[in-house]
Amino acid sequence: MRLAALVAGLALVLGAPVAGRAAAIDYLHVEANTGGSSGGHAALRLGELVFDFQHGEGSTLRLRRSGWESFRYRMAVRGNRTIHAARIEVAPGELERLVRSFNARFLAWDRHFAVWDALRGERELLERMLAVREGGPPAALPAIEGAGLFAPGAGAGESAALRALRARVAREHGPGLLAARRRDCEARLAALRPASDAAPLPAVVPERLPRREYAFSERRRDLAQWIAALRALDGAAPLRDGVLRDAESAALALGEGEAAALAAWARELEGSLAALVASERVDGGLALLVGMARLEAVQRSLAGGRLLLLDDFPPDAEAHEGRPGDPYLEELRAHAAARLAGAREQLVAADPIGEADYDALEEAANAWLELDGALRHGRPLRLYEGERIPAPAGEIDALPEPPIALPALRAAAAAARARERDSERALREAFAYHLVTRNCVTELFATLAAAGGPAEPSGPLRFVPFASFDAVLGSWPVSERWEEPAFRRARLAALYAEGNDLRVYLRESNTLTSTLYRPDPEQAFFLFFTDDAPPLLRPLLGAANLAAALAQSALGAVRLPFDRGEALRDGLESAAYSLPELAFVSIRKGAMRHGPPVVGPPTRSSPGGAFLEQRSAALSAP
Amino acid sequence: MHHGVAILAAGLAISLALGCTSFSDSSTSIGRSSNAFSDSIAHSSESSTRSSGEQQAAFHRDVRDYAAGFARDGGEVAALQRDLGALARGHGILDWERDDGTYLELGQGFALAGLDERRFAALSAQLAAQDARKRALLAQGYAANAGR
Repeated sequence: MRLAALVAGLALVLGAPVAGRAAAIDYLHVEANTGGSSGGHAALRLGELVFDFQHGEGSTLRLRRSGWESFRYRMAVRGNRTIHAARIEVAPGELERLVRSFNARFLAWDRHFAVWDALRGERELLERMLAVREGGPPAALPAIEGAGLFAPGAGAGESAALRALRARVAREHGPGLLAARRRDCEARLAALRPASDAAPLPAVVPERLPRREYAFSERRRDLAQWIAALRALDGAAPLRDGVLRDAESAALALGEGEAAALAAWARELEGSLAALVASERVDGGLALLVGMARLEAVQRSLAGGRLLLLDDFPPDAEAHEGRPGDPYLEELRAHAAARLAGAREQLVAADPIGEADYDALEEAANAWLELDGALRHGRPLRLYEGERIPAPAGEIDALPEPPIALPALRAAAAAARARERDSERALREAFAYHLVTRNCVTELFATLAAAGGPAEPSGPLRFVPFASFDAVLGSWPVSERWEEPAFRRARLAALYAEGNDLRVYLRESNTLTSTLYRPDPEQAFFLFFTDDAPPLLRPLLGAANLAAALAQSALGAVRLPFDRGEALRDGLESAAYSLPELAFVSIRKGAMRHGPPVVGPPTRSSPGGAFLEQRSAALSAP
Repeated sequence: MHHGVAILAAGLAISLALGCTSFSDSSTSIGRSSNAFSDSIAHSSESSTRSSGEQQAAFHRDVRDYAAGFARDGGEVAALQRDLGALARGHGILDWERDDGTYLELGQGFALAGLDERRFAALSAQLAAQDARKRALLAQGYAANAGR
């Protein structure tokens, strides 16, 4: 059965590359907005994947890969930016080749930055170890991811699920395996030593995977996770309070089929975990910790007849005030409910149930519970942009620490600092962003050409995103043009369709009375939307925005000693974006922290359609 | 008129000054950046179309592409295991060892990179020294793409 699922999965990858769509690539131009996107943006959609190059930390260029829905939501809804697309039909084999090529480059680029991260983590750990040795606070070392799942020590009771797993491990691998493995990990951790010499780093070649080492900080974390997991299993430790979500909702009651599916998953999971205990995989400790916590959650769900899940939001997730009755959150909750229902159906249908099936259920349920809690009970709504694994960090009691002599520790910390510095310098050079010669457009075309895709189009100023789009329309065999409207624009169109255009316009033209707009608190304040204003009104509204921004700046100057210049910075930024409005150019469109999941269907036209002219007119009005 | 042109120029200068969209995610690892689906709200808007099977297939594609790069560019096997872990996390998988597809795709990726049989055997022994079944899966994947 597992093999059948695997074959189906392989077919998905190797066969038709994009399920449900003809083979095509879409060149995307995303309109400008404030907040680091004032030059507009370009991206390439290959099937359901979107690749784009972004201006990143340290003036580097970063390659990002997103799912189309995620990209659309981020740009068109939260960013309130219309996405223009030019479609080119390609042979299925060509699309697959392009995906491969972009994906390989994405993995290589990403790994280079991961090496930088690892070197940063190495330096931070060694500096903290040094600080502790030199008299710093005893709890200064970083907490270990996943170690916060189980209650430490005796007296907290035992988990029946872990007791059963422990017995199974003893049956399958012998009664001494757990203790032997734990002793081995503790001995290896105690013997661990950081490198004390600053060996030169290999040259950075962006298209090649970096040759990287298994760093001291990674070894320490991996061994610590193994030790935490083996101790928890040995003691059949119960889950810590707060690790499971407190969800009394009747909507999570288990149906008969679901209970049977979860019971099957629990058996499958227990077998996987028993095998994992004996694995030599270096990073298996975290998988064991999370797997055991999930096993306990499933067993408790079965005992209570109600789905109980681990909380998968990390502690640093942003929490925002819950808003009962917020219509956008209502829409999001309805969407989340549909996803949860789909995940529950998939759980029942899957044979066998895989980890990805359960992960999808856990993730969907967490999203729904978060939205439901904010809407029904006004609880804080947590948002997190990043992967969510239910693995809270925690301290590990009596964790062996390598007895490194102070001079060696100082040398290692100095070496780590030097390597991090060297790595940063090399990355800044190899991935340097340049406004004209190496930006989101030029790198996209270069990557496409290197992959054997369409050649770079010709046209003036084609390093500018909107000009590059025109160049694509003029040079490539575009079969269709379509656009994904910005959230506000799409919703305004719907309101206008309901009647009384003037009243709608007056109400929605400003940020104070708009019913559509929910300002992102991190965006600088402004008064009027000018992008949809009649052209002749734009300078007037821009002047009002400028006046408001200058007033905000003056207030910010007074508050300078109290807010570190935040209000002043916002005021000046708002003033800067008001200036182009005086000359009929609207960059600012307003951005939101969250919005509804769907804003309307994309509009489509043939290559000779009219919307390009409309867009050009909007950009160059009056 | 000149005044207007100057303002327009200033506006355009501002519009170009920041250039392309800035990298807004805190992400830097494979897992985080590959899993852009995991924006907690965007996730809610993904609809249920991206199934666990598709997640697994996407993970397999990453494994193969990564393995091809690793075979060409080299590195420590322990670092490869950590990178596989990061790749898997991005697709909602922690126990990647349990997934037969991981080893099949590793074998395919090694073959696509033109890894010769001697080096493949050495790598295979390092990756699955104690497990004949995993070595067989690696060999199966390698054979499927050898010479391509």
